[in-house]
Amino acid sequence: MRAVVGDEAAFESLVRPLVEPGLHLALSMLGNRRDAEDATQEALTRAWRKLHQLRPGMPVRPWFFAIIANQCRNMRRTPWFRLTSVVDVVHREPAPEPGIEHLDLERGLEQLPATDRGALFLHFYLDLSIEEVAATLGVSPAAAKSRIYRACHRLRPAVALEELR
Amino acid sequence: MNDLRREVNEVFANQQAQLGDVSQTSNRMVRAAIGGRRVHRQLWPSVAGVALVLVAATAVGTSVVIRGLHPKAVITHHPSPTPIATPTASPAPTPMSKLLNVPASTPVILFRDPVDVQQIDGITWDGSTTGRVAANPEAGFVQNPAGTLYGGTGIHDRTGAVVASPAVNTKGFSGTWADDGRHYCSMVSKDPLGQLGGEPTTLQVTLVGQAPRNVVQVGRVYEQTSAGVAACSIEKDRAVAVQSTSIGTTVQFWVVQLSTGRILWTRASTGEIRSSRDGQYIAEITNQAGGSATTTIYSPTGAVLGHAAGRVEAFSWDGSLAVQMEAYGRQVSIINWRNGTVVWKGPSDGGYVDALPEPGGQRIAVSVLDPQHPQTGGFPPRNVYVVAPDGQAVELLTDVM
Repeated sequence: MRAVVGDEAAFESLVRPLVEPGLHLALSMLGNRRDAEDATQEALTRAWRKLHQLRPGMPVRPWFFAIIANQCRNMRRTPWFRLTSVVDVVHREPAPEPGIEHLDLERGLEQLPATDRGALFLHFYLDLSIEEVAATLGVSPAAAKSRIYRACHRLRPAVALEELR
Repeated sequence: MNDLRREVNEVFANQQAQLGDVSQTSNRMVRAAIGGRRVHRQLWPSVAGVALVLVAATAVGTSVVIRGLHPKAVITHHPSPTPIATPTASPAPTPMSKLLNVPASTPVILFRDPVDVQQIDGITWDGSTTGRVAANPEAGFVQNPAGTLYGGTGIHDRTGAVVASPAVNTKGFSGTWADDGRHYCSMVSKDPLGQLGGEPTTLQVTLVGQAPRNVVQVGRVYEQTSAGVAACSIEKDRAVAVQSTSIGTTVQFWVVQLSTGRILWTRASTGEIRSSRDGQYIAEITNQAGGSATTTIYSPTGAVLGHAAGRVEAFSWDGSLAVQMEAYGRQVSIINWRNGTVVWKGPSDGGYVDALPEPGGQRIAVSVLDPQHPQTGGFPPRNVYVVAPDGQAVELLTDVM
């Protein structure tokens, strides 16, 4: 609550542990470090401005991640993002080589709708509960669960099919 | 599941490796955010002042642009790069209080009031009349083509009165309205959640207020899968039933004669199925690697009529025009799919939400997200454009839910 009334140190202690996972979330949604940092920085600024919206007892993590996810979605919609993303694809430094056993899975993940991939990332990688994933994505827990299941079901057959070939 | 989780996390971790050590970056960001607030606090009054001036200037500029473009837009047959705004249709800052007052048969577009999402409002296709329809505490609603009825947990008329109480699932009304606006089609099974081994599903057609009639048994519903109806046409006596996977991709679809239950044609598919309202034209969207897609369009007899780049999401009432986009989130276009002519291009930064063909007409209402107003509540703010076949477009509604 001290953060809500403008205590900078309290705000810093509140969000500091969330910045790194926030950066990871932004990277998963935007695909490159520069955009992820921009989105996270903007989200932090917004979080500081919107602290008054944080009500007593409200979990901070999904609230902050929701701001990041919104910021990423906004960035993805801009023509500028699409333009620079093409440039990035052309000039991007080669990513670390995935293990050969993960090539198909990586391809499957790339083909998932961004919202489903985001739900999977939040639940699997950032270890958020279903309720927190729901709050982050602004959907019901049932819908969040459904997105995660949907993503898993989509990945599994793809992997199995490749194994058969 | 645990194996999949571990493997997926390994892929995520590999992708995330490009971030490296971010501890310094994190500290800098937090400090910058707090520092930014100080600056914003000091600048806020002047920023607000500048914003007011800009808004005023924009308003003056817009009115000039509208006056300047309007005659040209009337005569042009080229895609209009920027739709023309109609000030009369802008949402009010308080919930709409005036009741919608139009003849019972006048088609309207229903939408959630932007101020009170539990209220349904309506607007005529030309934007000349708008008003409150009913309070709607239900999560969702599906209007019939003319907006004379809508389905939620019950079927309501334009006054909000319940006129029928069909069987609904957990999401409310799951039927697909027929083109006569009085019937709807649905797929039913004994166990709507499906079960291991599958449960047969039956296509039903129902006249509002009467008992459903079984048409034909097609498809099966399994755990985590679904069966639905892409089109239901009393006029053309056909429906399009679709069996889908849990992620919405199709397994098989059937074009069925409603009066006899005869299967006119069927096809296995791994894409996504959209249909014209009468089931005459069917679009099969095939997703490609990297998020792009192509669409195959089938004739009333199942012959391939052609292919379109991107996703064809909806058709005009007569099936001649299609709502198309390269991928979700990309710019929406209205195309004449037979010759590839682009009739209209939507805003470059607005992702597609949905579309509604004008009943008996050629116009299409297209909803796109408003990137200036990202979703903060249960529903994303969207702008609704009504596009005529000559490409003339009107922004009918702004930031409705």
